[in-house]
Amino acid sequence: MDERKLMEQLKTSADSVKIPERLKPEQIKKKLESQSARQARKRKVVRRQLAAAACVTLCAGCLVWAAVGRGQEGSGSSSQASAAGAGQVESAADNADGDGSFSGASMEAAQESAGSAPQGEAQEQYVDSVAGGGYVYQVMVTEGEESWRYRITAAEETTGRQTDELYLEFAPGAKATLDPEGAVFTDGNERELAKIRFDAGKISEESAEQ
Amino acid sequence: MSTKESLAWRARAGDTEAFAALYEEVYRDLYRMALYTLKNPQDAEDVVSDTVADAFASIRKLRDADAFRAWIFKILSNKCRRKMKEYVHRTEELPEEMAGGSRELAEDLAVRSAFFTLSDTDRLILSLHLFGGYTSQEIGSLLKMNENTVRSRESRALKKLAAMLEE
Repeated sequence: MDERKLMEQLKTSADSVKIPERLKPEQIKKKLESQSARQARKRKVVRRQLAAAACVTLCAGCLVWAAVGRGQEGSGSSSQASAAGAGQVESAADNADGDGSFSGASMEAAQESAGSAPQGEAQEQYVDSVAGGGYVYQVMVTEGEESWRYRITAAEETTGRQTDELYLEFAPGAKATLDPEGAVFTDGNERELAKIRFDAGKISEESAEQ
Repeated sequence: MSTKESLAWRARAGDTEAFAALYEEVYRDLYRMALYTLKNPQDAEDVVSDTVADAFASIRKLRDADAFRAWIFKILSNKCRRKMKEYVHRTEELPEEMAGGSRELAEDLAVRSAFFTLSDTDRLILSLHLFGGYTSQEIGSLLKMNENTVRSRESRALKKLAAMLEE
């Protein structure tokens, strides 16, 4: 039998094949329409979820930014005070510590030269901060006439969430030296007043001899 | 812009009516090819249905409106080949509705029955040629075969078919 004739015969035999109702264009059109509507609904849900996720991310970003901004603001005032204090140290030539620590005397001089925060007024001021192990430890001081009250805080570096806090009180003129392991408080004669230990966001006092 | 191009353009934009209009021209041959390749009406129906859904979902990839027929047959042939791989460990029985039917001509039935005795690949090659209108070269590139191999397999299959029908 001729190949072409055979092909013709095959094609003719296929003509009698009944096409299922489900595959008719009208049915297919309905199926595609419902499929499109389903997909559109799904896309809408996904879009809403994405928008919600974006909002959450934005809020988290703002919180982190605010926390970091607060930290920078603190360190900015510290450097200003340090600069002014450095001038005082140079002129007095008897109070230089040279280790980056911030002495009470130099802080006092900084305040005087800046003409702000008159002495005796209980106003908390930034002293120093240090970062280590994912946490930031910060020392603040409130200078009273009879005693200086130090506040040490620990906060998560990424979120700014405070994890611990400790208060210490010393006679006026005490100074704090910070490193990532802890802080040492000394008096004007370099005598150790307290030793603080920083450990994974926790602040603990090792020894105190007030 | 030709009607076909305009339909393809609208289909690409998600117009189901335009897609249905394009589909109308090919659906009979799509089903026939699936049926003649898979030998099973239910599977053929499912495979064509899947093909249409896939084609509609990816119609944006179709650049040339005139290539719609070849493009949709390519999707179908891939689906048929995948289905045939599932058949490897299955014994095939000719479904009742394919084996008989008072309305069908005896000659058609004989031709179809003889065709179903051919190997999976031979059936796919002949179906692509018959219903998809593919050339040996196109079938070769689709099935990753040499053009001459396609031609000789087709010729051998037709000879076998002729011998069976002459018996």
